Amino acid sequence: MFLPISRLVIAIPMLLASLSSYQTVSASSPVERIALQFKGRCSAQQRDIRALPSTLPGVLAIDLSSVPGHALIDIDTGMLSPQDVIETVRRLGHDEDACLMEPMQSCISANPFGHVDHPSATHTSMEY
Amino acid sequence: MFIIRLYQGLVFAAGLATITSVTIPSTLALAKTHEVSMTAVETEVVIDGSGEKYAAWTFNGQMPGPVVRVTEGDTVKFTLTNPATNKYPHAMDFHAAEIDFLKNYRAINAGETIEYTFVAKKPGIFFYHCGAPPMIQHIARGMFGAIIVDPKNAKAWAKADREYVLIQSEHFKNPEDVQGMFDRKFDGIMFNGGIFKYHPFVSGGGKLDAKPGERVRIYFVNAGPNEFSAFHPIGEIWDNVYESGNPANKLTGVQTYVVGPGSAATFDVVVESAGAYPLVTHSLTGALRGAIAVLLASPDAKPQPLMPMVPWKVSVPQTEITPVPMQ
Repeated sequence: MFLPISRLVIAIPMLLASLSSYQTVSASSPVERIALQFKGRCSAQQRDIRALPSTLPGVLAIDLSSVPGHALIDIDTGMLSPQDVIETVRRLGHDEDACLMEPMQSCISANPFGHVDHPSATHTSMEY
Repeated sequence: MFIIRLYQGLVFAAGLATITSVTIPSTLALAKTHEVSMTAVETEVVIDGSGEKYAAWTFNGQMPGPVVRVTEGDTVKFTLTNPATNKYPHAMDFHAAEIDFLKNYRAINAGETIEYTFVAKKPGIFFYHCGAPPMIQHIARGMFGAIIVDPKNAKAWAKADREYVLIQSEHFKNPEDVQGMFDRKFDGIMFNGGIFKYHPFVSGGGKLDAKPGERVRIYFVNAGPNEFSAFHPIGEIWDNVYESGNPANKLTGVQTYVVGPGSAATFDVVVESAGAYPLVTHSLTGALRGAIAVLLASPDAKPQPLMPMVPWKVSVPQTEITPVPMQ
């Protein structure tokens, strides 16, 4: 059941420390949650991710406390895809930084068909 | 004059249910009478993190219905009201009771009320459900819940540090498709009336909290109506399983335990270290379609109710923006 875990090494400049804010979305908007797992010292990256709702349209909310070591990112899939978020985060990074983040996939990934059609499982831009 | 009357009115969802406990007399301090009232409510409930609503039939407007909790030997005086505004007959069958089925579990029409009394003679976790025909539809649409009968001797088992009630049930998207229910064509499996309700990696999902080292007690009921549950804690082993929740029915070191429809068991787990421990039915067609509850062990875990997120009030955006821990 365990899917291959794709790894994305990212580093995010410490420039986006402004307060996050909600974006409005209609009740019918399709909302999807992306879970990113942190490894290493990632406090700067967490601050940057926290700012995503104000910098990336379609990012609705960030939750950095519910699951330790993870960022839960809710997006409006009518405006952007999970891959868009991952690409954006990757573009913010510096190769020399040591924070490792990876989209969380495991045997409890919610999509019943797992890697077959889950958008975050398109690995073209990720390192393994 | 030694009679002590202790009234504990507990108002449940929408003020529709009350449970009143009467203690008599002081020399028989453990003998209580609980007046339990429920109302059949045909209403919409939220069943997933997107806020999707389902045309449910419920007890007290929530799916599952409220948890009833008494102690072994207590008396339950039960009243079911089927309001005139409803369309269908409804009934109540308590698995904790040992009473005549024909007289007590009969369906009542809209506008009617039924009352009966039973003594909860055996400790455990028991299913309750509507038994009106077609029963398969009444259960599938949400008329079920749990009654905990605590053992009279509290030392009959280890004291739990934290307790949850989890009720598994099948979700059929078309609530009118009774044939689909007979054919077992379920679309999802729910814990406490929600698809991935306690899966934090799913939009709108929550979690079950615990602290490392705590004995977490899960009162587990399988409402069905058809599918078996193979209840398993990923990353852990059940320290103890109690068939039907009776302390006398004790198993130790269990990886997966099967709970059939209409049955129940109590599961104890002591998580040794911080982390995530998904509780699933290892019948994966059910787990991967909704029956995953993540037990998250963290030193700063906060108390939670027996059935968190019931009813499920989903808002958009679903998550709160939380402050980043400063390091």
